[in-house]
Amino acid sequence: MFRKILVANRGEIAVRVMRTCKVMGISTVAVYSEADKDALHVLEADEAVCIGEAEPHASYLRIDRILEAAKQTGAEAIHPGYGFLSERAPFAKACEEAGVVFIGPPAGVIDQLGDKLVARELMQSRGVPVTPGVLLEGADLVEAKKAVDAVGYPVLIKAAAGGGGKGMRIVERAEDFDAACKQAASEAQAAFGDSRVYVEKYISQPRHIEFQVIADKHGHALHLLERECSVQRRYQKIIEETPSPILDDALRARMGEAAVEVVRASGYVNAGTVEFLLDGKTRDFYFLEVNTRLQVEHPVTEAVTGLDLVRLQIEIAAGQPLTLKQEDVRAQGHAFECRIYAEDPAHGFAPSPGKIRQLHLPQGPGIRHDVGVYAEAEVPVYYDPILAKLIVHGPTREAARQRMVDALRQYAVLGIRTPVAYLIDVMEHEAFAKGDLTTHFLKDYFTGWSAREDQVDLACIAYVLDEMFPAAVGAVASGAAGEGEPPSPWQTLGAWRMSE
Amino acid sequence: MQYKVKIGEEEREVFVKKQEGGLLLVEIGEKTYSVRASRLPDKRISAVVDGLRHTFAVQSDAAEKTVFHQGVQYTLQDASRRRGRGGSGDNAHVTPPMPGVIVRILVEEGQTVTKNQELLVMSAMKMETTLYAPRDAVVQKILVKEGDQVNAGQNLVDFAEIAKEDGEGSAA
Repeated sequence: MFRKILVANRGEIAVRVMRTCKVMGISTVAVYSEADKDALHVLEADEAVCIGEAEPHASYLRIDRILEAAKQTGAEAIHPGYGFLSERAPFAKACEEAGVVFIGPPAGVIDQLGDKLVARELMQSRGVPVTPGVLLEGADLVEAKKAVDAVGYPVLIKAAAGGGGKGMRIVERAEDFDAACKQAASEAQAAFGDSRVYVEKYISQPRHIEFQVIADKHGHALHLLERECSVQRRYQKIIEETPSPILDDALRARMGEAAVEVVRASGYVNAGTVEFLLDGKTRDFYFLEVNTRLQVEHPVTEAVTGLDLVRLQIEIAAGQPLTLKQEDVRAQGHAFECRIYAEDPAHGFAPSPGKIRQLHLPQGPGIRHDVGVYAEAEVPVYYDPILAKLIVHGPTREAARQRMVDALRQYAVLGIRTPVAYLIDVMEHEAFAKGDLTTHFLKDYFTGWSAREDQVDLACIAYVLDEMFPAAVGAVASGAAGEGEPPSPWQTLGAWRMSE
Repeated sequence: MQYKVKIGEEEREVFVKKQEGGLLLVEIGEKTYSVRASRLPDKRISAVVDGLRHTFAVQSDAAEKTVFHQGVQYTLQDASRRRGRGGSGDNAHVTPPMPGVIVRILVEEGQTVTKNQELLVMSAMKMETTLYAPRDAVVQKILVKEGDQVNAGQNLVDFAEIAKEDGEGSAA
């Protein structure tokens, strides 16, 4: 086993990885930018090396400096976390060449799966379902219609050359196809100078379901059940859960087998995630892509399976065989994760960096909190605004949901904006409570959201109390001011009595 | 004691009467609340309001207080302190809402701009944010250049009034 691991990341994920290292008796090295010298991940590590200026390309993306830091500290392996260099094949390759173990899949696998088209073709060749679609070029509508009939209606027509909804059309019936196709092609021509259109199966109730997979270097691969991440805003996941409310055992088994097939087809090693789109109506599923790293939302899987994914990653990277068998993987209860970002949901989710003035975190049974910040710490402008992840575990979905709402209600972050109130409203939404989710959920129900400020009188009372009971340095000497007595200056001054 | 509090667009008057034994009677509109409270060592306020305990986290800044209660954030201002609406503070300057980097400048010095015209684009935390003209005016001086690091509240553009064109101007 490794004696020392360098974590090439920052924030909550770096802290989380280091905590498992500590449990395993492995010492840790943090790397940090000049903006992060007081960051929590630096405080958590046994050693820390500054690798450059605040901008990511000058520090956290500098492969040479990270490898230099590994050499300097004698780290034998590097954990990349998520984001930054975690899915960059050249980084994995550079690690291999430098004789440092990259805790993740081999560079070749990252490279292959990183190309979406290559990955899609590979999966198709191994019988893993992909969204059926056909590229139409030229004017032969009869041939085109045959191909589209094979895809099956409804279909979505979109410009092959670009995005942004230009030329996009949903066609429900075959008899409407000709007209829609011609319009879409001419719009595509006007917008992109390219009339080719791509016709794919339209999924009216899309759900994002992903499977955690894990494989060792000895050919043993299995999946660690699913996570549902349909609650997304502009492809950014916000709330994740497991098990998915829509999967039954039969569908779970089928999707799980497909996920393991993806692992085998690609020669995958270490932890990864196979993402699928599931049609909530037909319950057909389609391969989307593979994330070749630890996911942000991995803790929900840990909560229900009782496994430590980072420990498994490290053991696999060290060459140990997986002893876990597929039939041993069982979900106990239900888990949710809410992502706490420094952002303002009332103003278009604008980033909200700055100094955290107060931070009060929820506690209680079944609550796990992966936090990358502390009170009075600065949230820098340079990086992803994720601050923390709140994970709850309960015996049933409803119990876990209620636990999450209660936990969010205990949360208080002052100095910067966070989406806590927004998350509470989502968790309490009727459709969410029923598990009726699609990837359109937030767009359908939460566009133009504003906070339910239904306790204005209490807020006013808090205002007045804050005036009457100043939060003085040193606070109130214990016992000196009884509850309800506004303290005199002599009490709030504490030890700082004037000598004259 | 009397407080005038502004929350959103609403103003509320809050009267506080101190009773014996540390009890406070707080009147808001037609309601009266009985309150006992204390400041906790971690800066929060613990209060029993009509028999129910609440914990508030309050951040006090020069212009406003932010109250966190049950996961919901309220922003309150001292309504008695504001003198007159529409002071110079609001529409005289362009300031970033958060620290970031100037990515693009879309106007030039001397250019006449209309209210809500796009002036600058800044980037913070991997997102771009556009800053708009606060009113019809002439761009007198642009105080930053592309690539500059800027802070929240920093003035980025000086404006001048648009010269009146009526009268002699139209004669030529």
